[in-house]
Amino acid sequence: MGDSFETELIALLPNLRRFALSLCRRGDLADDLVQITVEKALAARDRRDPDLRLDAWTFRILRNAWIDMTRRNRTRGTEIDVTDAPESATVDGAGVTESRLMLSATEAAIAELSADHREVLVLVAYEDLSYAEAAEVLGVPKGTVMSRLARARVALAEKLGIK
Amino acid sequence: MAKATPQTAPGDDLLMAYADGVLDDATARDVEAAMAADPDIAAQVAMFARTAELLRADAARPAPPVPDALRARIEATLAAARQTPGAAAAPAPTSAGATILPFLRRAAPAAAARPAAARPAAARLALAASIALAVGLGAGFWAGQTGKPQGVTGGLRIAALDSPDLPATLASLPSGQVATLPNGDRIAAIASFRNGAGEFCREFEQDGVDGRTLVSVACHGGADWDIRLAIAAPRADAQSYAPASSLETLDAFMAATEAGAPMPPDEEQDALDALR
Repeated sequence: MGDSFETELIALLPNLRRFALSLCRRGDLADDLVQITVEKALAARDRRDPDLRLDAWTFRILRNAWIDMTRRNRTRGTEIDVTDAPESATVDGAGVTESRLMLSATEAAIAELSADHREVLVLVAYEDLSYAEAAEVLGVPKGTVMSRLARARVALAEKLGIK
Repeated sequence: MAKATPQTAPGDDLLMAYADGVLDDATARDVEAAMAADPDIAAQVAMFARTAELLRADAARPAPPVPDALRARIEATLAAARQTPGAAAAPAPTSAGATILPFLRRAAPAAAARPAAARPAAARLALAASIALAVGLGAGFWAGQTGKPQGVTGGLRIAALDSPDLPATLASLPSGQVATLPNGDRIAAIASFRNGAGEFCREFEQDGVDGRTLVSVACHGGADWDIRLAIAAPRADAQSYAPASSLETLDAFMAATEAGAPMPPDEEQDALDALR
């Protein structure tokens, strides 16, 4: 039997995975990130920031795990930058097909934006975080979130042909 | 018609916030005045409102379903955490490909300013216990009271960590860079941070010529480098990810020692300079 923390965590899995996909754009890596996030959230549940919503808190854990992954990857001298790796690349054929089929026109346009723009859009627009909460997740001032999000929306409008 | 002066023309961030309906009344009035004064500003607000509408419509669709395999992994993780409280950070048993060697903190040198018991003994034991739980009891332990390995379990090349060349490398190699020791091992500096006790610590990886990678944390206790943790992981090949599963225990260690965020390069350089 799980407790309410676990129940809430399980309810967040689709959101965590969507955020993970927006960061790494590969189904297999997104699954790993979600798994790591759940493990870290369990380990740190007693140290949870009480002022932060559970979803924002777990998004922050997930994002830090992703940064750690990419940092390690760079340090290892790997030549592929996974954030820019085309989705057609190698690993998880089924996962890629699945995630591609799920894309709406808006999501397809978002997928072409830079990583900075993608993550802030997903947090605010899809996960319904306030600017301030997104700032907590991203570890930047609220003003930075606002200017970044504004630029992301301008870029999105251009891709979607909105004047 | 007077245009808004450059000083008062609201930037895109404010126009977006207006379109999102999150501005306070006074600021919203200012934006509306600017919109009335400048059709370009009004058009920009309309653009932000349109993107908000599109995003809202799209976000109303449910997030893609979680694959069954992932859900099963998560359920297993939750179940394991319930059975062994305190070992919640343990990597899933199926994915563990690593051997963990926790190092008990060695006695602080007399010259060190910090008392030897800077961290409560109970906390130290709890940490060691949780790491032991994390990997099972197949891992090699040693208590380096003198700083000298007493023995090695499992054939790991821990001697490499005792290399006379390692301290100088740790004290000079910027994170993100790689150096080769005279014995052929490659040292990759991953990050620098301060632990809860304020000590300057470095996380680094050592690719031994035997095909194993050691992921280690060393802290500078005031006089000398002290290896606090070493994880021996199978070598990740150049095209693959660092095996995330083998790093989860490292994360647990970092959390338990209250490791701070990785230092930016300039801060790290200052800390390295301070060692000299």
